[in-house]
Amino acid sequence: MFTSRIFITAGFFASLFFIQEIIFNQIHFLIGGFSIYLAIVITWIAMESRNGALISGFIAGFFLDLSPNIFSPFGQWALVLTVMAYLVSVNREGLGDLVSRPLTLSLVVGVGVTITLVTYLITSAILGEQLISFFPALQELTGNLIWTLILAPLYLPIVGKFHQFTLSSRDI
Amino acid sequence: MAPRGNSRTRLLLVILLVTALFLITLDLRGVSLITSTRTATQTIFAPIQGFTSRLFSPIGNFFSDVSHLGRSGNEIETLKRENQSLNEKLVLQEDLKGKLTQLNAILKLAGEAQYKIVTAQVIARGSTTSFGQTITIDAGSSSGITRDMTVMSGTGLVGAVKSVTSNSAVVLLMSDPSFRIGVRVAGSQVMGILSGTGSRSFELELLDATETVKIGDVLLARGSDGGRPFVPGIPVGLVTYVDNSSGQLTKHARVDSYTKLTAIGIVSVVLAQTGGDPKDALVPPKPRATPIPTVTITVTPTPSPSA
Repeated sequence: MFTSRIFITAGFFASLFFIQEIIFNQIHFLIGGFSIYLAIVITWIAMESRNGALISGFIAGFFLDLSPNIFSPFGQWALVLTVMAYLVSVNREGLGDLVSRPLTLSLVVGVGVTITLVTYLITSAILGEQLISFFPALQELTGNLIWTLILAPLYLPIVGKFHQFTLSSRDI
Repeated sequence: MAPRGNSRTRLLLVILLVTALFLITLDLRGVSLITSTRTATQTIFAPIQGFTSRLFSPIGNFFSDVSHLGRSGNEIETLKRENQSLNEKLVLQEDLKGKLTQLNAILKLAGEAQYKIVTAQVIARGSTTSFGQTITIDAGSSSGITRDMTVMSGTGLVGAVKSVTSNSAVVLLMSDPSFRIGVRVAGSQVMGILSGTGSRSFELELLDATETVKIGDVLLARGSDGGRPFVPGIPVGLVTYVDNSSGQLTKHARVDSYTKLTAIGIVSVVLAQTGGDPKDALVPPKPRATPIPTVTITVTPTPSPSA
């Protein structure tokens, strides 16, 4: 059961990564970019149990590390999304059932994506990489947050239904 | 049960974090297996990105184009009139026409500088998750492209080749925060280092604090050993602001690039420089101000009938 769950999650994230790289990277979003991948990954993590969230976060980060457009060390995204998965899974328990409260879930996802990107910047600084200037970074974060919230009504129901259909009846 | 579950979670967290740190360490130590995984991903994605870029090309810059609409009322009116007559076929034709214009400009610039170039189409833009500024082009090592080659557009520098597969290459744009290039001011030959900031403007730091630059100065690439990563003489940007504050060890200025990096469709990679250093021959002509006709109306008082 555990193995099949990992395979489903990995397959889902691989497809999502493919869509992000092939389609969403072609579109120049207003204000800042939008990462459908990060938005859906955080949504997925918020719906998972603690252990499931940790494994999902690591797998999602691993796929993001494969991106040919990223020059940060391989494993940095795996690290960031594992930490984020832990934070989201621990804190969302206080918020109750998020699936039945889409507004709260979209806010959690928006804030989660922003904190993920900030954590990525912090780890980049720790690893000695060149950092983007303050205002462009702020613009990118703001744009990402706005697009994540605007497009939430489109992707949240789909991810929710898919998660329910594939995984909710099973547990680690 | 809960403490046991918690300890399992903590153990899992530690294992995953250690694995991630292990991967980072391997990558930083230059293990080839790690670097080749990204190259493999690029090899797989490039042909598909090439196909989808043709599909998404007309709408790819939709959002950025919309953001520029408010700049001029006249432009909006013109665009409105044009939009009425546009249909799907015309959109595609306009897209091709734009690429042709860019291609013509590139060939003109490369011809003047005697660069041997390979022209390529942009098939993907860098991931938003990395805060980095890259593009992927549809030409790679099979076209003679190798790492650290200059990439240019019809108006000037675009960036440098960062990684290559047989049929694609990733280009680090000059707006990336890690981008650095040695430049000289056309005419005065004052030298400096230009850095990307992640935004549209760039930071120029003069090597000699006693030298001066002024607004409107043209910056050209100083060139690297063997022309890699940068060939000399290629236009880089225009000085738009000079920081004259005293008490600094070096002088700084803000620069705008000649190339609009958010809207490039065609670029070319400089394979070799057949001529010598073009010096200041590639300095773009200064834009001529369009005269605005003015009409002066003088009110002449009409003599009143009583007078």
